[in-house]
This record gives sequence, structure tokens and C-alpha cells, in this order.
Amino acid sequence: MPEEVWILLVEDDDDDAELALRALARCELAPRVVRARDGEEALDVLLGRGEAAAGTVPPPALVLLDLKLPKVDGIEVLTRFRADGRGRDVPVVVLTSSMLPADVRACYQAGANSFVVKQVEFAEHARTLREMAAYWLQVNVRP
Amino acid sequence: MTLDVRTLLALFALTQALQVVVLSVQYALFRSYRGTGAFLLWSAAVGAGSVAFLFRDHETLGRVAIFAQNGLIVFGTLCLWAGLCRFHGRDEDRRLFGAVLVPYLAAHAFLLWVVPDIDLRAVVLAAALVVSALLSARELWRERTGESRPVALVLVAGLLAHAAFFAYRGAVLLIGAHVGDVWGSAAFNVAPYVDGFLLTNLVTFGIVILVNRRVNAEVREARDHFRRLLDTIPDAVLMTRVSDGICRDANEGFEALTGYRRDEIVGRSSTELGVWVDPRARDRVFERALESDATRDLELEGRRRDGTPFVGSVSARRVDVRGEPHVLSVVHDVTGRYAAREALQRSDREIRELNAGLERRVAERTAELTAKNAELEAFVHSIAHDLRAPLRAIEGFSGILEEEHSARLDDEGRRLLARVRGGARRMDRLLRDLVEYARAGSAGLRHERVDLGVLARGAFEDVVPAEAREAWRFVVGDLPTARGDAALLRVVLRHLLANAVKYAAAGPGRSVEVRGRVEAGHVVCEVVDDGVGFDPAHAGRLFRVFERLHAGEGDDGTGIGLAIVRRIVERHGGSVHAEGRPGQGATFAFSLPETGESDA
Repeated sequence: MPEEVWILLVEDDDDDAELALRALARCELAPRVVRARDGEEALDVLLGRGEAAAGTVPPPALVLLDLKLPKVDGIEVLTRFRADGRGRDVPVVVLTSSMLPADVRACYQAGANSFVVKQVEFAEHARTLREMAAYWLQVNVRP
Repeated sequence: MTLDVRTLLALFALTQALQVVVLSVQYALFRSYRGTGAFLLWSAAVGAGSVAFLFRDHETLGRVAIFAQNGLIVFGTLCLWAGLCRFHGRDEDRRLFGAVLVPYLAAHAFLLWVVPDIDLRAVVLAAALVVSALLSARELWRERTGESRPVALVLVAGLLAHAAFFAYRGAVLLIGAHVGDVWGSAAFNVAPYVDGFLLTNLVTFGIVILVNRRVNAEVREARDHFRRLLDTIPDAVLMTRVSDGICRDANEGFEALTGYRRDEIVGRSSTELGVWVDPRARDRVFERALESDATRDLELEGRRRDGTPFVGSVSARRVDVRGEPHVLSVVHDVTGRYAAREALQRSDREIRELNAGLERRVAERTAELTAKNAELEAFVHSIAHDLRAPLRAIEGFSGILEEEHSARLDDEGRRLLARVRGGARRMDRLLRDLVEYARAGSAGLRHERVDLGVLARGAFEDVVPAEAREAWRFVVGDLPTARGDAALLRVVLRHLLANAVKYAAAGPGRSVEVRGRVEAGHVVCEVVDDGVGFDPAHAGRLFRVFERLHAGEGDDGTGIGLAIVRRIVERHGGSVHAEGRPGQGATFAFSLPETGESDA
């Protein structure tokens, strides 16, 4: 059985989450998307601990990470994920509405592969997400 | 007692030789005194004359010896007169000198060779000696003043006695007496030699004493002048013996400077009196003076007798007094200058401290302001972030509604939905501009060479989508190179071009031109459109936040763009302005300092 390709979406805002899910659902590949509502849940999934980890044994093919999250913020999640052996090679795209240069710098330092600003115009936003998923899941070659 | 003329003559010659030695030494020592040479000549001539006397009986040379003897004696006595004249500072009367000597020599020669007559020769000689003695006496009498008076008077007396003697001798010979045997011991013949012996000794001693007195007087005078000079100098002068530091002399200037009397310092050392705050400093002055012979302008702190401080600038020189090393020091009072300099330095220091304080405060304020700006920017970002989340929901869901459920809406419903999405998009742009406006105020400013032409073309491409560019006449002129932050200046051009494009869209030529020039040290860049223009009366409002002159022209203006332009340009130290007329297009310009000084 081929390994399941799935995406972890870390997003606390239900509206944003639904929009992202709808956008990704229109992908050719239509990957499974698992959503984490806060940083802690995200870490549970990524580091394979607690309930949330059930059924997610292969690491995600892509992580879409919001920055401003309850409990554990996005940069912390990223840092801890990168520190863990399993998380080293997983592409992480920071998906946020912040354009603060300091945030951009901090994310790349923590090991983000990409930094994408959420667009308000849905059509644009959806296209970006689809193209991104296609790129990281189909074009990009991982070790 | 029988006096033998030969013995006398020998003695006379001997003493004369001694006198020649004495007067030679005197001449050697005091050559600078006029007359000492003539005195020596007098003594030598008279001595030589007495030696010539010894040869008067010689067979062939006898008459020459006699001529030489008396001629030299008369010449010598005239030299004495000439010497006295010169010693008194005037030239002897040469004609008088000749008027005595030449007739005498003529008469003497006549009475020796033509009509030999020893008695008449003696008379003529006596006359010549009387005349020359009187001349000398008169010269001494004239100058019988001051320190030389007693000596002059004694000499005058001797010369008069001598003249009287020869006057008597001449008179006696004239009325019939005879010289007789010149070698005999008759009193008449012996007397002239005794007279000559006494007179030459007397005159030689007299001359020595006269010169001595003059030297003394001059030394006294020099010392007096030195003293006066010393006391006239307003500076303090000290003469100090190096071996024990004892002060040997001090002037009035020293009294004035330190308040000590001369007799308090002389015989004691200045360190003993406590004149110098740091005695080692005085020692250094001494060392330098001894090392290099002289030293200048060393500043020493001193204390006056009443304890008040002073500052002296000391110049010192090594001076030997009777072979002992001394230091002659001149102390110039520079207390005032020193105090002034101190005050100047103090105020200088204070000013520097004030400046430093001011700079520190400015730096603190700047840091505070920078922090505040950054805080504000972060705040604006955070607000924008939070506001955009619901916006995305509005836009996104209404978009999905439009795409997936529009069949169930009527035209009015679809129109309203489009309005909702438009509103959301406009608010998004507003938020972006607000964030940009905040950034324009707080972002770090880079200073680099900026090609405005490249920026303008890039900004135009940002503003007008590729497919729409065909319809535009976009001209970029020859733009000067500016100095500033390229990223921020691109924002400036983007907003100016967006503004121009917006209003020129309805213009006849859809024309936008960017041109530039250098003017009075500023790089000026203008964006010209052929759009609707504006009323010049409102030009001032253009660059304020949320000010818009044209209402209801679609949803693409936020009213922040020109405010961002102004903020960035002003941070570069430049200025913005706009020109326009309704219906005749507008020109928006900004100018930047050529040197690139900014963020003032």
C-alpha cells in the first residue's frame, strides 16, 4: 500500500480553515488535510503523541502553519518540530496575514521553507494554495 | 751725599723700564680706553731718551745721541699731554703738538750741529719741558672732577713744580750760568734727573690710579644700571646659587610678585620661604637651565607671603659668579592668563559636558521615538492582521457563494454580493496602505545610489497590468541619480504613478510622464499626467492621510498613498508638492537632497 500523502493545516480561525480546506479540495491531487486548532495540537500530531496522533504515522507531506496560535505559537511549533528528528525534512510553509519583517526573519531562522501572506481575495488565495500544494507535493524532491 | 749722574741715570732708566712694563700691561688691559697707548709712548720715549744719554760721548754717534735724548724726552712729554687729552675723550691739538715739537727740534739741531752751544740747548729744552708740563697740567686741571679729582690735583701740583724747576733752570742759564760737566755731581746738573725720576714715577702712578678710578666708576655705574634695570623690570628676577639654592639677589619685581622684601629672600632659599608650591618644579627649572644653558616659559605655581597663590612663567639662564654656577631666573606673573585659560578650559569642559548631555538626551529621545515607532508599526500590523481575518471570511465566503450558489440568486442578489466583495477588497487595500504608512515612518533608512528611472519603470509595471500597458503613453525622461532608500523610493513612485494613472485613465492621451532635474542641490522628480487635474486651492490637502479631492471614483483610492509619499520623502530630508488645474492634468513632484543627508 502506497504511503498516504497528507497535509497538516495548523489554523485556529475556523473561517480561514474552511476556506483553506475548500481551496485544497479543488486540487488535482486532493490530498487528505488534517487540521490542528492550536500549537499544542499541532505538536501532538507532528511529534506523534497523545490522541491526535492516532492514524498519522507517516509524517505529513506538507505543513501549512499559521503564526498566531493559541497555547503554543507558530514559531515555537516550528522550532520544536525542526528540533525533532522526524520533522527535519518536512516542508513547512508559514501561512499568515502578518507582514512584519521581524516575523519573516524569525520564521526563516526557525527553519520555514516558505512564507506566504494570506490574501483577502479568495480566488487569488485559493490559487496560491493550490499551486503551493502542487509544488511541494509533486514538483519538489525530498531526500 | 754725592749723587753720581751715571748712577742716577741707570736708576732712572731702570725705573723707566719698569714703568714701561706697567703701562704696557695697562694698555693691554684697557686698550679700549683712549690715551693708554699715548701714556705708554710717553714712558717709552722718556726711557729711550735716558738710554740715549749714555752714548753722548761716543765719537761719531755722540751728537745723534744727544739729539735723540732730548728730542725723545720732549716728544714723550708731549705724548703725555696728548694721552691726557685722549683719556679725557678729545683729540689733542695736533698743530699745537707740532708747534712745540718742530721748533724745539729745529733749535736743538741748530745748537748741536750749526752753532754748538750746550747752555742754550739746555735753555731751549727747559722751555719745551715747561710748555709741555703746563699743557699737561692745564689738561688735568680742566678735568679735575669726580673720582679723579684728588689724583688730578696731585699730578697738577707735581707738573707745576716740575715746570717751575725748569723755568728757574732756564732763566739761570739764560742770565749766564753754565751747564759745565754733564757727568759731574754739581747739584745744578743732578737736579733735572732727580726731577725726572720723581715726576715720571708720580705721573705713572697717577695714570694707573686714574685708569683704575675710571674702571671702578664704570663698574659702579654698570652695577647701578644693572640694579636699576633689574628693578625696572616688572617681572621677578632672582639670582640663585646652584650649590645650596641660596638666593643671592632679587629685584623689586620679586617683592611685588611675592610680597617678600628683598632682605628676607637674599641669603635664604626660595624653597625655605615656601615660594614654590612644588619645590621639585623649581629644581626642574634649575636642571634645565644647567643642562641647556637657558630655559624659557616653564609654568610654576607659587605662594605669596600672604598665602595667596600665583602662577609664574619662569625663564632661567645659567650664570657664573666668580666661577660658581648660579641660575638667573625671571618670573613672569601669568596668574591672570592662567586663570583665564583655566576658566576657558572649564567652560569648554562644561560646554562639552552640556553637549554630551544634550547628545545623550537626543540619543535617548531618538531611541525612545524609534522604539515608539516600532511599537506603533507592530501595533498597526497586529490590527491589520486581526482585521483581515474577518475580511478574508467575508470575501472568501461571498466568493464561494457567488461561484457555487449564484444560480439561486436573482440579479439584485448578485449585484449586492459583488458590492460586499468590493467593500472587502477595498478595506484590504486600506489596511495594506496603513501598514505601509506605518512602515514608512519607522523602517530603517538605507543610503544608497538610486536610479530613479529603473524605479519608475518598475513602479509603472506594478501599477498597470501588462495587458493594459499598450493603451498608455508612459515616458521616462533622463532622471538624475538620487541618494536614499531604494525600496522606499519605489513605494513613493508607485503611489505617485498609481495616482497619475488613476486620474489620467480618463484623460485624452492616457499619458504619464516621469521627468527629473537637479536644482539647487536637490534632485527633483516630477510625475506628470494629463488627467482631470485639481483645484490649486486644495493642493495642501493632497498629502494628508485620508484626504481625497475626488469622491466616488470607484473603490481603488485609499487616501493614504500620497501621505505615504510625503512621509518617505520627508524622512529623506526632501519635500513634496503638487501643481494642477481642473481639466489640465496634474504634476506631483518630490525633491531629495543630492547629498543624501536624511532622517534629521
